[in-house]
Amino acid sequence: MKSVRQRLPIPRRREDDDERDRRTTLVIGLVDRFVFDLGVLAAGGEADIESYVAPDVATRVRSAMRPGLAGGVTTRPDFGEYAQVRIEGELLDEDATVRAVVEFDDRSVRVDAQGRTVARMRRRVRLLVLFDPAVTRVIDHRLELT
Amino acid sequence: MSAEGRSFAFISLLRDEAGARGLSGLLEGLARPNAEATSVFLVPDVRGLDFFAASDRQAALDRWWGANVPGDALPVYLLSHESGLADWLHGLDGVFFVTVGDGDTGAYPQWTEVRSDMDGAPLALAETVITRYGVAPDPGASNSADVFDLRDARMIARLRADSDTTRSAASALASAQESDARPLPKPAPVRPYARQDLPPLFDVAEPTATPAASDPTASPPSDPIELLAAESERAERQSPAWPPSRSDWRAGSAAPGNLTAPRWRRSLLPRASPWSRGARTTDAELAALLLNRAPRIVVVGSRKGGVGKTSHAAGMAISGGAVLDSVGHVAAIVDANVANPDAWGQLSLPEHAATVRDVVAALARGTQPPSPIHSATPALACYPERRDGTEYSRTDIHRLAAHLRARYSLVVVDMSNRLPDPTSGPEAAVAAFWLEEADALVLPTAMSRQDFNGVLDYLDVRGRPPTVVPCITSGARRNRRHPVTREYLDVIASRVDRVLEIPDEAENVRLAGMDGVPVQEVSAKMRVAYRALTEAVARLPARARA
Repeated sequence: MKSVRQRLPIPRRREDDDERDRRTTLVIGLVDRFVFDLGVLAAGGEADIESYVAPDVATRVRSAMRPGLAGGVTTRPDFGEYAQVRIEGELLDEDATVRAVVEFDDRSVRVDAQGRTVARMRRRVRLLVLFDPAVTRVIDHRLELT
Repeated sequence: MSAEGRSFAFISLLRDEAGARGLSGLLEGLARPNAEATSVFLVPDVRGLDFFAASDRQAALDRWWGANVPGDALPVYLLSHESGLADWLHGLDGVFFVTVGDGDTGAYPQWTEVRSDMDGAPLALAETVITRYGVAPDPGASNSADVFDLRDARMIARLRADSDTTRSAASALASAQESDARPLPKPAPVRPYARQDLPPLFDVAEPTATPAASDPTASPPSDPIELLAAESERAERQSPAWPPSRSDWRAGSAAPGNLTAPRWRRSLLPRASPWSRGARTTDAELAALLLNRAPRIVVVGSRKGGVGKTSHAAGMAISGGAVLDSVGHVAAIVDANVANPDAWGQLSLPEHAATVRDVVAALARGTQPPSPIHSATPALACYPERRDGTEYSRTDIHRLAAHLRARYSLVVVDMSNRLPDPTSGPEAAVAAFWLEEADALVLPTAMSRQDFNGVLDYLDVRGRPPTVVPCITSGARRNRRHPVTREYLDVIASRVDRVLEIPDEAENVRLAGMDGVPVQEVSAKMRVAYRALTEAVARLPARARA
């Protein structure tokens, strides 16, 4: 999905386009990694989110998910093959943070210790991720279910 | 949320007096004496929906509020669901915890819903509040304060489970135990959870040692993604750090009074007046109205000064930006008050922002104009003007208007206090050039003979676009009902597309300017009024052009 700014008829220079592409790739890579790691954590696995997520944010994520891992019911994550990603912000502005909005279908399954299905998810997940200006770290996030 | 330097006012508004006082007493008794956050625990005589809606009690409540609620305290309201309550909570400052039954979930999407029946409401609210405002279990956690000890939430959860008043007690207990398993950063002495420590309201059995989580009938724990969503919701409400829109991302834009939520003002409490009932059009509907008629240039003019022209322009632009932000579009405000540029005074813009002159010069050279500065409010690009005298040609304004039309779905132009006339000096000429480009005209007025005459003079300008007149309503009934006032308004109404009443909050608008608070945050009334003005403009017919 195009951002607002991408819809604007602003004249572009080739080097700007190259830089924009480079930073877009960084954003997509981090988004992909973050979503994948959320699935791993939801399944009770271990993911090294501290390596690219701000410490307080990583702590919040782990603390929030921990109670859901107790009780013998586990999650088999299925976030689908495709996600819609909208990148907002001026990618060429090196002083500005970048925000990405990721939307995907969550079809995860919750199973008990005997492997019996407890619940099947059918919901849309909207994940907002805020990156530092260098697009190397996740500095905040919000997750919404619709 | 850091509790340092913060104070809370926990206001128990349960209808049942025993329940309200029991809840307040329980929380007050459990508050940590060495907490950095100062707190007061209050039970007003008027509670429930009446606290917000009973117009005949507002004066008494104002006095009660002034006497009991510290000015810098964040109000934390504790309520039970009532029909119509959700409508009254929109736009209010403070934090709301509302108990809801099974059939009412989702009624308070912006606030914390606590599942409970009426009997269990005090305990359920107490548990939730203590969990929310308890000592942070993890250093750096953003959703806790230090008002309570989290272990007390576990105690409440046990009481709830034992008293069989709620179905969610098991999961609450499990959650409390989970947090208790981690080391607390500020260990408190273990409190003997004896029944006699509680107010007599809660006549329940002694807590048992059996954790409810082991109950085979207990519901399974929520899935981690759901829990993460709930945590995000809490963080969204409590942390002002998350930028709500693209305008807040820019480094260095977090100036004091700029990004932070408006400070609590007593005036935000709703009154039984048409202004506090909320806009009838949803954001999506208003956004669709703006987009369907876009691009739209709205000029705000006046022949006479002091009618709130700049405030109206800023309020309308902020309101429009917020609505457009929800659909990924952006509004802009342009300062065309070349003799007395002041729009950024209403928007707390930095001095280094690219100006209209900079953009016009770049367009004249054929180069890319500088990026505009963005307001701290959502999706609003700002084009301030230099303070040194400047003038523009018709071509300059035409080129700038085309530039803005291509980029923004709503462009609000704050013009000078001059009748548009290309031959009467630079200010009047710029006003005339902008009027040629405009799709709509807004002519604010106050209720005085001079102001009304100024509007009528403006209405005589040839070729003006569809027009809305926001009229600042006098606080004096004699003035409002004066025959001359009515006569002027009748004449004006017959010549324009819409006359709209705006509440008179001039003093608060000035105060907002001094505080660096966006003008539409002056009060709930003004927010509603500026939104109504934006909607009125969006509903204007298209301008007929030759």
